Amino acid sequence: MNEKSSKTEDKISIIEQWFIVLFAFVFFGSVFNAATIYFFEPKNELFFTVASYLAGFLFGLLAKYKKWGWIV
Amino acid sequence: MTDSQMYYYQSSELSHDQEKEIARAFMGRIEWEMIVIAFTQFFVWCLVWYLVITSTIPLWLGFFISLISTSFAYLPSHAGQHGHLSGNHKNLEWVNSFVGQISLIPLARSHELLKVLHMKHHAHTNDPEKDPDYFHTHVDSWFEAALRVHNQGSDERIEKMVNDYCDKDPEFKKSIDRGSMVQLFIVLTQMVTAFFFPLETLFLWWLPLKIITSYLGLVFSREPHNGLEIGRHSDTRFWRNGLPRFLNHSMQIHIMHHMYPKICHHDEPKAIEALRPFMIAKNMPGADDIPEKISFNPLT
Repeated sequence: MNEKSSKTEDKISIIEQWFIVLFAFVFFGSVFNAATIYFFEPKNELFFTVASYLAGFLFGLLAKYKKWGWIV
Repeated sequence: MTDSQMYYYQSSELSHDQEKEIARAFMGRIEWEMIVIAFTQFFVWCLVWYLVITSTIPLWLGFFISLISTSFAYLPSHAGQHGHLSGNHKNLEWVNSFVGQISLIPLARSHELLKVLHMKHHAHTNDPEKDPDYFHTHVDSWFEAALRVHNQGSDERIEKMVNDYCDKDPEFKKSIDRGSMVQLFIVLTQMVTAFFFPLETLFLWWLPLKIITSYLGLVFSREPHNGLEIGRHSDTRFWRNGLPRFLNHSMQIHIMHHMYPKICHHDEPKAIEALRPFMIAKNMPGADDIPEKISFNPLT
């Protein structure tokens, strides 16, 4: 029983650690995308959209690695 | 203070029983002002969203209005954490959580999570092993306090503190679990909102809550407690900064709140006037500087 609950807690902990990456991907990806469109009005929107969400994802990885809890 | 004043203040007339009796006169009412503040600031915040999305007002104006309204978001929850929103009415205790949680939406925080941690702050103020606010309070600069207050969720020392409390107190753990679920729900809502309204979410929600959280760390935590020791009569100071009291949410007199947390925020000025001799007699930090009359002046 204890082993089971410990495994569940480990899984929750892993989800918690990766939540910051998901948050940055969706939140900052959307913000970067909107800012890019607002400032540059690009012709190829798809490329900039993919690049923005990728930047959000990388920002999330950096935040996870650096333990930047403040981004959430 | 002169010797004769000191003698007066240390006389038997200023007994602990008398202090408690005076303090009790200021406890027990429903702090309706906080309920009004909670709903008003939340209404203003929602209205700003509507006005910005419909392009009635520009985003930059919405940002400044949201910044001001969000600065009023924490105190109603704080009042709820101490049961001020229900007063002595046991059947109204749900109001504390309900109003407290509504009020905290602009700050994207869970009322229950903040409540259990805040109760530990009161029980162990300035204790590096047990006070969850210790690591953004006892820092050298305002800048450090403003930054560290955002890292409460990822600071390993606080995580260890919370885990220790969870191991010892099952009720605390239940509250942390429930509060975390509410917190997760609010953050998920923020993510979905950002997907559909990215710049609006950034300027009307995320940035104001970050700026105001820094402000709370400075004014509610660092200024009243920085550099002070453990102890009911020595853990909080009376402080001044030349600004009208209103602009600091009256945190200059936070000393009163730590002495008697059951006294409502809006009754603290009268309570501190009545209890001033006791505070001076107990040599509480800054007590000598407390004016005889507390108004909306800068307390200088």
